[in-house]
Amino acid sequence: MSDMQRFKRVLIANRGEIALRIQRACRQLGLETVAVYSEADADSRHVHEADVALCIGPAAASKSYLDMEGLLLAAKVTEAGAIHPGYGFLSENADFADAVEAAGLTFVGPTGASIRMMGDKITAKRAMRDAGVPCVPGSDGPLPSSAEEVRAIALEVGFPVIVKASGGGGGRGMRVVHSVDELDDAVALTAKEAQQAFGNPTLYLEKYMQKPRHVEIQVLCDTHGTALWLGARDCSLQRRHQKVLEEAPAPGIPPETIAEIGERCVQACRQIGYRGAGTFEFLYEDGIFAFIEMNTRVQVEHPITEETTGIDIVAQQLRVAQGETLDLRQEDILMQGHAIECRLNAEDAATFMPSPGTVTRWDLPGGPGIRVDTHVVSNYTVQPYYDSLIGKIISYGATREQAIARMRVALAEMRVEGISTNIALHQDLLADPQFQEGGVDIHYLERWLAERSPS
Amino acid sequence: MSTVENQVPVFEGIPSSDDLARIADLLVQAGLETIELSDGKGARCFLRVDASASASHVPTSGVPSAPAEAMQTDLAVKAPYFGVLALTELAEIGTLVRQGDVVAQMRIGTLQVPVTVPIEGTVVEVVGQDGVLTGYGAVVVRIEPTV
Repeated sequence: MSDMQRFKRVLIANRGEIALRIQRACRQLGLETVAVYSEADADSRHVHEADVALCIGPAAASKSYLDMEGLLLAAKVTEAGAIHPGYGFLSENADFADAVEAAGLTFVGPTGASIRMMGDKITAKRAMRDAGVPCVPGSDGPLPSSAEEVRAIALEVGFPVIVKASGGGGGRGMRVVHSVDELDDAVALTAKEAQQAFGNPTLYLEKYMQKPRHVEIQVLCDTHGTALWLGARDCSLQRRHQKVLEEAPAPGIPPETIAEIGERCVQACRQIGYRGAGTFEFLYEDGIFAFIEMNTRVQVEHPITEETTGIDIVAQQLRVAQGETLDLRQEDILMQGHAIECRLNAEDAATFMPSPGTVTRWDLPGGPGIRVDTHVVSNYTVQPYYDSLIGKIISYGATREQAIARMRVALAEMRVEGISTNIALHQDLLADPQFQEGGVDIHYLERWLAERSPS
Repeated sequence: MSTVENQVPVFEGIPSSDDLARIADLLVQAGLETIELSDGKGARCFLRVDASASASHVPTSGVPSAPAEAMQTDLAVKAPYFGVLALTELAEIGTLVRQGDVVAQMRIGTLQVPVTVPIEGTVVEVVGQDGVLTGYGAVVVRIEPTV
């Protein structure tokens, strides 16, 4: 790194595997780390290994990982110069990003203005449309109050349509409408729910794609006008809008198609002055891409892009935050081979209920093309307070078949005792002929689960 | 200066009544009121000598006639916030503290968050270190509640 560092010490405002991942990137760049943690995470691996570790509150996230004021005070008292928010928690909170910068610290992520723009789905979609990013046909803005006008829009878009809350996300605040008769009631109900859940009754409407895939584009931008796309990921295997298994590249989609979408995404980044890492999420059906939303942070599934491009995304986030120029050109980025990520959750295999407890055995897989990102060690206690992600196995191969074969061996090698995990689910999925063929849609996993359940 | 601790028997479980008496005698001789013994496995034994009673009565028999109270449960006074610990003059072994008394401040710049005592008692151990960055929930002092 250059001598003109903006910061030498990074406060990691997160926990679990991503906190450890960020700590590793900091170490490689010669940056010191501050681990802030809740009382429940006192025994976490990154806490033990941090340069400075500080307990900032009780287990409740609202009083620790979500406590903006507390995090800023922790940065002050530990003399951290930057805050990396990871994913989840405050990573997409525009007010927090603004507050960090107002306190004279560097926020490792985009500006508050970018986060705010992408956080509002209507503004985000409008910005994307203006930048030439393909969007799903829809109302192009808030729904009018007149039921008649809403009906006219829906008829023009064509049923089925989906009514969504502007302030929603993560699968909340939306409703599919199959015919014009259901429309008025659906709009009224969704507006009411949106008001209750998000404090904002504003709705918009889109064409409901019936069997889309979830395909996303990773981007990386510096503050000197460089904006790069790092290929696509297919995250169609989801349960209740939670991704289960991801892969890169997206099977069966021509690289030229991805390149075209990628170029539009980075063009949009330049137009809005985006900085750092980000992800454009799309629905993909019948060769058509439709922008859903942009995630303005590092994502859980970032390692599969790291494997296929050889780029350390978290280290690049930190470099960009230092104000450095990305020393990469688009033509230098080669997307090679195939990578798969299986998210390991501490959950009951049948009911998907969280399975907290002490891990009494934790034997990790290895061998060529296998990477494990986890904060768990033997005798670690999985806490009931946070999400159930306990790690990620990432396999890489020259071909998709090789990546699958390596992953199957890795899952068979993995030994976990003391808690329940979803390893068996991943094994079954990898053996599924439809998955092996590639290109299943976002409803596939839930259908597959419903069909194999005895009830 | 002869210290009390190198005359106190090694703590392995609850001391016998003879040992308790001997420890109580040592405390009185040393002008101390309380002592904590711990075995490193979490077991602790507190003894407090009532100064007024013991002043005129130095036991000579094996029976602990001084009112030494074994296995008192102590109370940890924890940091309600993180910051650089600044102990007050009350954070001193043997000090009688009352509910609401401030034994330390957690300092972050000009911000100060007081560490207050929840219940009346006597400070039996000062765990926190003055001037050290201290986390939420860390034990600052231990007090033995007044019965």
